[in-house]
Order: sequence, then structure tokens, then C-alpha cells
Amino acid sequence: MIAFGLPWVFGVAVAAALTITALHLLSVRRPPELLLPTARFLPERDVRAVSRTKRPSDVRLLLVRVALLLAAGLAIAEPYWPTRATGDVVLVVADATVRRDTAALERLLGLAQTTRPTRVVYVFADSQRVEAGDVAALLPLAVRSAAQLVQHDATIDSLDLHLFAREAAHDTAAYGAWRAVWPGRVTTHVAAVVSDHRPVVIVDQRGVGLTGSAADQRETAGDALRSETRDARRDALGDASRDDIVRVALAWHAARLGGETRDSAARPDTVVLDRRDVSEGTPADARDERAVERGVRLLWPASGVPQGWAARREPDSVSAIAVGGRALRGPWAVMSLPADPVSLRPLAWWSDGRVAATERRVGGGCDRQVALVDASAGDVLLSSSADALFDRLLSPCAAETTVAAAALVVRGVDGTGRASAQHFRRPASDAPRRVMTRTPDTSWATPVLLFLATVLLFVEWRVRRERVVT
Amino acid sequence: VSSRAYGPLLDALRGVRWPARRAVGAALPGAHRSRQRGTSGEFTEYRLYRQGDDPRQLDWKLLARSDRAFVRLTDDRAVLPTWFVVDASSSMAYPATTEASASLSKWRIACAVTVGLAAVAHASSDPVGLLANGADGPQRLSARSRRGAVGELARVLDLVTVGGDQPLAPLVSRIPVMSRLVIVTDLLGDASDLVRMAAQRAAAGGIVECVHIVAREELELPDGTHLARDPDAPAMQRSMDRRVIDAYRERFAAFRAEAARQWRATGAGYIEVTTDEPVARLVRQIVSGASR
Repeated sequence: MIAFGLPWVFGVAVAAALTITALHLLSVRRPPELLLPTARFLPERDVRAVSRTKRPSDVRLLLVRVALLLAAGLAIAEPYWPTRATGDVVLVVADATVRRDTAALERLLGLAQTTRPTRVVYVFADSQRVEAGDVAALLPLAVRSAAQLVQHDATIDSLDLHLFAREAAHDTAAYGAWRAVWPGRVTTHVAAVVSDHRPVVIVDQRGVGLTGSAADQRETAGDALRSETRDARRDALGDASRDDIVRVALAWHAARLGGETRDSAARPDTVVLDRRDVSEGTPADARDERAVERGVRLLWPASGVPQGWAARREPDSVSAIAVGGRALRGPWAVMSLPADPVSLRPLAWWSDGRVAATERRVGGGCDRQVALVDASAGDVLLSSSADALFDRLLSPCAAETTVAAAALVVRGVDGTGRASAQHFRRPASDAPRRVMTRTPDTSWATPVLLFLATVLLFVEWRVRRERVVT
Repeated sequence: VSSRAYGPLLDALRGVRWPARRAVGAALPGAHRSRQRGTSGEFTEYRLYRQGDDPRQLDWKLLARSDRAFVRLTDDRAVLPTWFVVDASSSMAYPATTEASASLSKWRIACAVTVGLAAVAHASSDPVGLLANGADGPQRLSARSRRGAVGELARVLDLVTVGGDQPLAPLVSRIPVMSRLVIVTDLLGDASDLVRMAAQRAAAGGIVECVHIVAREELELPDGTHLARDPDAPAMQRSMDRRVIDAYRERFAAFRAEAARQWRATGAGYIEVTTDEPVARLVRQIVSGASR
């Protein structure tokens, strides 16, 4: 038996066909003429008279019109021949780094080859809400989506969860907490090859490098990190700390990532640090000539607000910066917020959810604004807790564009068995029912029916024209 | 219809007289009371002789008996020319006489009424004349009182072709004022002009009678749904079914009542006759003064 993806469309077509049939049962004609000298005393009304007849008028035209309406309705209503399906659902939750190609994802999951119809539900996270690579943030999204699914569809028996991200960090406390909420298996898919990017840092837009060589700076910073106390770290950093801790931290993390620090641009994928104070409302400077085409300009003002950000009247204290599933504890002071956060890609968040660092595409490169101006917490930037923040800030501009499904592999399968829908269902919800799903081989029906409707439209025009002529 | 067909009608109206509604002006001696005092043999009263009276009117025997001079006064009797203006527009052909319908058209009734009234008038030696506005143009028969005038009138009516929408008012203007004018029409043409001319004639001392012919089929519309078309105005087409009959009756009744009021307000006589009434009775009603 045929079924429809949009049954209401076919219902409308049937209603229109019935209306046409009813109209053909009404005979609109001019009544017989009668000479009446006193006709002027009759009220003025439509001279046509509508009367009902037992047999439809112009049966041939009626049949063509009904067939035309039904064909058009069938074509638009997405007809298919349903088959019995199980109540199993594959729930796919992907972050913004995964390309939204459901067919490719189905092929990756092996669903296209299976003969058993399976329902796949896709949930694509918004980059504004879920940080790329934060699998822990995908899990609550999956739990919420599963609950909504089973509440609206009582036929669902079980759910199999697949998480897709370019990269995934599982060793966070948030992931463990949310993983305990999901009652079944969680399969994580990540990119097979992660870029081995090694940043080249130009630590000053004026081309002024760190004091001493980069190797010396790494050594100095390493000594500071190995120191037991804050005072010992300050002593170890010496001149570098007094110069600019951000520059030191940037050089240190670049060295950690295997990169190097230079005083001038020699490669296209450089990161240029701009520590100039940019007050609110100041027009953006022309892009630094040394910040080559594909490079990153890191706008991290020593004071004031980053370009395009609005200063707060009163600083607001927060306890941490969250990035990459990790937290960089403060305290920090929120001095400014992005004026137009929708148009910017967030890189880091304050612990209360507000954006702390953003990225804006400029030509082939990008500008990254960091609103972290509290110098008192500078040595924290040298700790391992800041690794995630600097990993993000030192990554190339195009590093987080979407990755195709074909480039994804299964990173791990956490747990066993499908999650039971009963776990997400409220007690009062209905018992599961069998559902009908569509088979994929009905795509030919719509163009064929549309062609048939077009032919019938032409036939209807011809029949109507013949009728007028006669 | 041959004039012979009016034989039963004329027999039924034998002996009927149609006196004028008021004294008529000076004319040849006839049957109607004249406004003139004359020397006819029908004595009315005496009046003292005044200087200037005709000495021949002195009653000499009375003068001899009473030594007082009286003159004999008598009422004159005069003839009253009677003109018939008959509407022969297309609307008068309604209803078409068919085998299924035994009713006569308004034109047939108008002809019969005209012949009957002419016969009654002619019986009083009144000259009778005719004007009709047929499709072939106006038909005129001068007023005459000779023997056979009614037959001539009937023959002229038979020659009239019903049709067209020629107005009646221009015909009325050709008729002498000092006569009796009988307008036989359905008032669906230039009714307002007719009323205005009737008022002028009545003010001038003329006598005007309006015989309003109404078809029974106009009062009781046929069943079913029809597209009604006015024969006088083919462009006018109205849908007719049972839902509009009440409104039609109401409007038509208002029209007839207004017509009666207007005609009588001018001093003319007005009578409405329907096509299913016996013509002889209609004629008797008219001559008896029921139109006033």
C-alpha cells in the first residue's frame, strides 16, 4: 500500500478533485428566455442560473481534471511504498567541524548497504553553542535530543549514539559526568589525520622578538614552570616576565607545539602577536604587512579592549576560562565583550558562558581577539592548564573548517548495547508501536507523476478549448 | 381578427350609454349635456326677461296671462367627439397567444375594449376616431359619426402591426382638446409624458380616460427559472425565479398604485383592466364611471 511523506498534500489534492466533481454536478447556464414587458420590476440579479444535475457535465473534461489534480498531488506528496521497520534509531550528533553530508555519514555508518530499514536522526551542533572538539558538550545534546525523540515518537525502541567531531578529548571530567547519563553505547568518530601544524610565532607586530634567543626563552620559561612557587617562577622568568608575560607564554607554548619564534615573517602560516592598546571605537589598522596572507594576527591588547569589542562599565569577575574541554582557572576580570558575537567564531569562553576570545576571517588569514587583560594571572598562562587555550590560539586559521565524513574514523566505542528508549521516556507515554518507513527506491515516482500532470494539463487545455470552440 | 368577431360584444353592449362626465362645449346637437343654454325643446326653467334677450325666447302665453315677461331657458345637448389612442408597442403583444395558452394578449383586449367603447359612443351619435402607434407607424382614423364608423375603426385596428416602441404622447397632441380622449395602454412606455399631457387637456376642459391594460401573466409570473427580457428594451434582462417573485409583485403593485394616483390627480379617469376579464363587463365599468 502506498504511503506519503506529505499526506496532507495528497489530501488537499483529493479535496480539490472532489470540489471539481461537485462543480461539474452544478450546471451554470442561462435559463430559458421569457419575454416579460414588466421585467423592469424584477430585482437585478445575476442572469446566470445554477442548478444541480444528477449526471456530471462534460465527463471527459471532469476525468482529465481529476486525474491532473491527483497526479500533481501524488507527485508533491512524496509517495513511497512502506515496509515494516524496527523501532531502532541511530542518533548522529556532530559538532560544527563535521560537514553536513547525511548521505556520506550514512555510508560511513554502513546504513546504506543494510536491507533492514533504519531510521537515522541527525543533530548538528552549532559552533556558537558547542565548541569544536568538545565531545563532552555533544553528550548532553544527545541526551536532550533522545528525550525529545522518544517523547514525540512512541515507536522508538532503542537508540545507538554516534558522535562526530574533527578531534575529540575524552579525558575531561565533563565527559565522564555526561557519559554516565547515556545508558548505552557511544561511538566516537574523529578525523583520521590531524594536522601536524607547527606554529611560527612573531611575537611583536613591530618585529621585536623576545629578549634573547628563542631557545633561551624556552629554557627560561621551562625553569619557571618547573619552579615550585610563584615567586620562584617570577625570579626564573626575570626580564621576560617584566617585559610581557603573554609574549613569553606564547613563545613557550609555540615551543611546546614544536614550533619556533622569530622576529620577522618568513613563512606564510605565521602568528603575529599584536599587543597594542586599542581603545574602543578605534578603526582597525591595515593588516600588518608582515602578517602574510594565510597567517594569524593575534590581537591581545595589554590593556583596553580588542578591536570590535565593547568595554563593560564595571569589570565582572569570573573564575575560569573554558576552552577545548579544559578550564584555565583565574580569577579573571571580564573587561569587555564582543559587540557582534554572532558574526565571530568563538575560540574561548568565560566560565559563565560569555565569549572570551573570538576569530574573524580577514582575507586568507584571520584576526583573533583575546579579551584577557588581567596581568596578575600571567604566570597561569605558563601552566599546563593553558595548553588548550594556546593550542587554539596558535592553530592555523583554516584548521577548524569542516571535515568530510570520508576522512573520519572510529576513535573508540565506549560501552556496549543500544540505549533503551524507555530510559528517556516518561512513564505516561504510549507503548511502542510498529512504524512504517520508506524504501529508498521511490525517487522515480515524483518526476514521472509531475510529467504525467504536465501532460494532463495540456490535455485539459485542449479539451477545454474544443469545448469553447464547439 | 375580423370586425365581425366583435359581434357578440356589440350585441352585449346594445343600449348602453356613455354620458360625458361633465358638460361639454358647444357642438352639434347630440346626447351630452352642453354648457350652452339654447333653444332646444327640453325646457329647463324661466327667467325674467332682460334687455338684450332674444325676443323669440319670450313665453308669450305666460306674458299674456301674467303680464310679466319671462324667457324660456333650455339646456343644449351636444355631441362629444371621442378619440381612442391605442398603444400598439411590442409590450402590448404580451402574452403571446398560443394553443397552450387560451388567454388573449393585451393588444386583443385593448382592441376589444376600444371597439366596445366606440360602439357605445357611436350609439349616442358621437363621432369616434382612432390613433394607434404600431410598428408600421401611426394609424389614424378621423372622428366620424356616420353609419359604419365602428366597423371602420375595427378594421383599422386589425391593420395595425403590434411592435416597436413608438411613444403615445405625440399622438395625443394631435387630438382636439374639446373631445373625449380614451388612452388604452399598458403604461410601460412614455407614461410620464402621457400623464403630463392628460393634465394639460383636463385643465383645458378636455375629458381624458385612461384604460390601463394589465396581463394576468404579469400579475402571476410563471413557475420556474427564466431569463426575463423586456420586449420594449431588449437590453434589459433580469433573472426570474421564485425567490424574486415577492419583490416583483411588490414593485409592480407600487407602480400601478402610483399610476392610478397620478392619473386621477390630473382629473382624468383611470381604470385598470386585466386580460382575463370579460370585455363587455369592462366596457360597462368604464362607461358607468368606475374610473373616477
